[in-house]
Amino acid sequence: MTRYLIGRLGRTILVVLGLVTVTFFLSRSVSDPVQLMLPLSATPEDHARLRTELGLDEPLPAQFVTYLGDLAQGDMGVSIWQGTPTLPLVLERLPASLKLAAASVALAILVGLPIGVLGGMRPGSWMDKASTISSSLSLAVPDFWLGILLIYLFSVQLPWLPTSGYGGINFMVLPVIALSLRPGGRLARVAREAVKNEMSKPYVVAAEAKGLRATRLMMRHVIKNILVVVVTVVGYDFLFVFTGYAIGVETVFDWPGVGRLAVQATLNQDLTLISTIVIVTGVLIAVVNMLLDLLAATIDRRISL
Amino acid sequence: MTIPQQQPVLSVKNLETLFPGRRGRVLKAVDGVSFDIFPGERVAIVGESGSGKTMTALSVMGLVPRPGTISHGSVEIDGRNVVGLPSRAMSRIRGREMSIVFQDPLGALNPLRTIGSQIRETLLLHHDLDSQQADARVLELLDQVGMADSELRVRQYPHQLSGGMNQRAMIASALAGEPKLLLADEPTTALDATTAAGVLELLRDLSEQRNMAVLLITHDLGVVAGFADRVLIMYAGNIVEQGTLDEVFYASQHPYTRGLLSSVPGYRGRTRLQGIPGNVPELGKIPTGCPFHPRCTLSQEREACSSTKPEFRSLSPDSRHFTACHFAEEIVEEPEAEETDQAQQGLAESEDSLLLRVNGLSKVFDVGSTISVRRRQRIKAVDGVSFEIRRGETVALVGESGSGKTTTARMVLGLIQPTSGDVEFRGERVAALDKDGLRLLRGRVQVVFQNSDGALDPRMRIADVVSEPLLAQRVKSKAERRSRAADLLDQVGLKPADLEKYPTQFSGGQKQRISIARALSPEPDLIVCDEPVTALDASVQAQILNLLNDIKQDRAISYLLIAHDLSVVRHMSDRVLVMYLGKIVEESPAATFFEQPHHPYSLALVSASHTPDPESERARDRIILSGTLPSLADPPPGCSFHTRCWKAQEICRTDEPPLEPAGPDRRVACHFPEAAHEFAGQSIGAL
Repeated sequence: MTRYLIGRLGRTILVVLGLVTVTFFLSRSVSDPVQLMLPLSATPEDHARLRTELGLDEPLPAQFVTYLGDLAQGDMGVSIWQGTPTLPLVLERLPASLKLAAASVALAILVGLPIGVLGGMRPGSWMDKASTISSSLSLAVPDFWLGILLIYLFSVQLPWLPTSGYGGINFMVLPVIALSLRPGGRLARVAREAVKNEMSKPYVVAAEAKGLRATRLMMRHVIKNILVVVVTVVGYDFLFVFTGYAIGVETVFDWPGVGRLAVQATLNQDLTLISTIVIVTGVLIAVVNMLLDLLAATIDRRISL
Repeated sequence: MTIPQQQPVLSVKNLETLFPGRRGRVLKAVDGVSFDIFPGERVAIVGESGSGKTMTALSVMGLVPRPGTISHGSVEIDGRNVVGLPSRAMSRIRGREMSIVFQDPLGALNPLRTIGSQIRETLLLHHDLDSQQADARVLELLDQVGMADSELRVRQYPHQLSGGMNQRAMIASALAGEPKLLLADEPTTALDATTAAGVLELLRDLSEQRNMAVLLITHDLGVVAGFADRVLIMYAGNIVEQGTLDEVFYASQHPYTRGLLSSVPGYRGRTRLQGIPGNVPELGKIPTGCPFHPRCTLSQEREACSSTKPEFRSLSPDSRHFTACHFAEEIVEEPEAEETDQAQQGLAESEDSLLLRVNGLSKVFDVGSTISVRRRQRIKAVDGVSFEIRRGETVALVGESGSGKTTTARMVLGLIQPTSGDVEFRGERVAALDKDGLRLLRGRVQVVFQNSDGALDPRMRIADVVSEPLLAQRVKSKAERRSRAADLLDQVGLKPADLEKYPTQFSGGQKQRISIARALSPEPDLIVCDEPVTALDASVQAQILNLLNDIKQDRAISYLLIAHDLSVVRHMSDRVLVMYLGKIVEESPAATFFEQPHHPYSLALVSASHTPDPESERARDRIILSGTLPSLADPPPGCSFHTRCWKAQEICRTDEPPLEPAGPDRRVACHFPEAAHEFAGQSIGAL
């Protein structure tokens, strides 16, 4: 186990280093920050001066070393758009996004997992059909569209919840529902397949032959065996909720999270800020994945062999 | 055996288990089965695939998988019918009144829970114990099933234990509720021979100590001969014969039973297997009348056989020997089929012509890579193996799983490169061959695999399957390839019309015939047969073994046979090589090997194998090996067998014995081979 932990930690560090390297070289190759920062009226001399000031006239490898050094001190550059250091800008938005992602994944587990498990227990039953249909639907509906629909229904038609913005728990309800839909659907599907697969294994028959009753069998044997799959899928979904889906939903609900920041940074061509967002979310994802892998390994020790 | 005059623990009456088939058809997996089991009695249900033996066991346990149902009949446990009981009541009977042990112990244990917790769970379901009592009882149970180091085992997971240990843990769990009846569904089929022998002995001892009835479900007549008091023979969902062990084995009254017995190598020293024509019928395609009539030699197309299902009857009023055959009287009168003693596979005429020489062959696998988190290991799968195969000779590689048989065979085939050592074929070193030479060699050395399903491309017509090797050997004319393919099919007993069919249209035995035809097509000198009959039913197995022997005689072909079933090895081979942990520990002519194995491991293997002959099984003492197979990544120093050897001395732990000549044509790698020999003389009966 210790060996596995160390190995897994090492891999996480490798991933983060790779991410930093790719982000650096990619951002340097796609655009010229000097062009973005200076007004159109700037002279070539202005360009050259700023270039020297920013150290952009040095060779790329040297720049990379400087960049790594700054990074180690938490300096990830200054936002072109806001004119302030980027890291605090991103970190300030992080809690809102994390809250949204965590709540959505939690809701997805709470609803999707039981639906999938119930479906998988009796393949072909009406329970199973209901489970399959609902999970297919939830996967087919685009979340930002659902977000708009929810606002229309519950904020405009029925004035129960705020349309958008950030505040108490009532601000979270609609975005969380919109965001949890797809992960929930996928989780239900995966859980259904896993349970169905698990139920056909000989150890389930053997456990029944010991005299275990169905509920106990489910709780004590089957659920534990599908947990590894569930953990993996949840990790994957967390990643998606955080990076992909949230951009649409945060925009629709005007949620002050990293997703919306990314949209704003892109619209303002703020490459430094985008790079920072990419690295921060990348580190977060790498760490979350590592933790989930370790969790999976404690559930199933064969993983750490 | 006296007939017990008490109430049966299990009484099954007219049991019928159905499965819905396609297009509204109904498949009868169990078709009106009745039998009783008395306290302490050991009864075996014997049948081939699809006979309904497992479904009978599951029906008794009330565990028929959805969507199957018990449509008729009763299952009485201690006089109480349990068919149709609500699931709550049924779960109180399972594990307490009766338990079951399955074939694959690793699969039957929850992979994520410790052995101890799984046995404990069963205990607590059926007994009112506090935590400490339960812990103590788990250890007690593990000791009773002969699990060494029980204190350590309770905390281990199934993947950390060997197959034999897991099966013992399963048995311990099955015993936890103190059942009066234990069902064992192929409990030793997934285990290596020496391990299986130990598990069977355990089951026998437990049944005697606890006066516990055991219902053994198996396809292996050898296992039955050494275990059961009474035998039920099942065919296509029906019990076709029932009687005591000796009645069924020595005075069988059903043509199917006779056919089955004559299909098994080693039954009464037969040199040619009889076999049963045709194939085991699929569910849903079971013939009308007597289900066996299309394959029956006795029926001779008599009307009664195809129109009326024979009654299950005894031939004399006070006998408990039952048979379901219209013409059972004729069998009883008919003497045992005459021994058609054919000339033993001769190698005299070609004794000196060497075909293959293997010299110091080794293969090391590096497991794990630098990127993976796993530990890197060097596994010596094959370690300095040398042997020869002469023309027209069958050489068998014998050993338990992980002994390196298959890796050796693959190197002979040139499919993997040896780490060191070389293979010489007809005097030419294989490693030195160029691309063209290697292609030609591949035509001379062919292979037949165990799993013919996986070995035949499902999207190729049989004509293409069989003639593909000819294409590789540059036989350009399509017409010629085709006519050769037709000839080959004829030789393996298939029809020319089969050329147009696809592999899925054939049964397992037929597919193996196709594999053999393909192997024969480039006219090889050597065929490597890797467990060629292991996946087949006994009656079909006999056909394939006969076919292989006929081909050998017609063509003076050599075989390198890999088989775990020693009765098959004995039936087929001229010479035997025993492998243990990647090394050859004994080489011996087959004729003397089985009477006098010299290496202790060979002796254990021979003593662990079963013959379908109750008398010799009764007369026999078995050597049950202690300990488990050491890991190849970390083989023991000195003689690799010393950790399990009852003869081991100090020298065995330090010095590795070389493979040295010991008598005519025999080589043994043991410091004390004579000692093993003497031991053999006293204690094991003829195989």
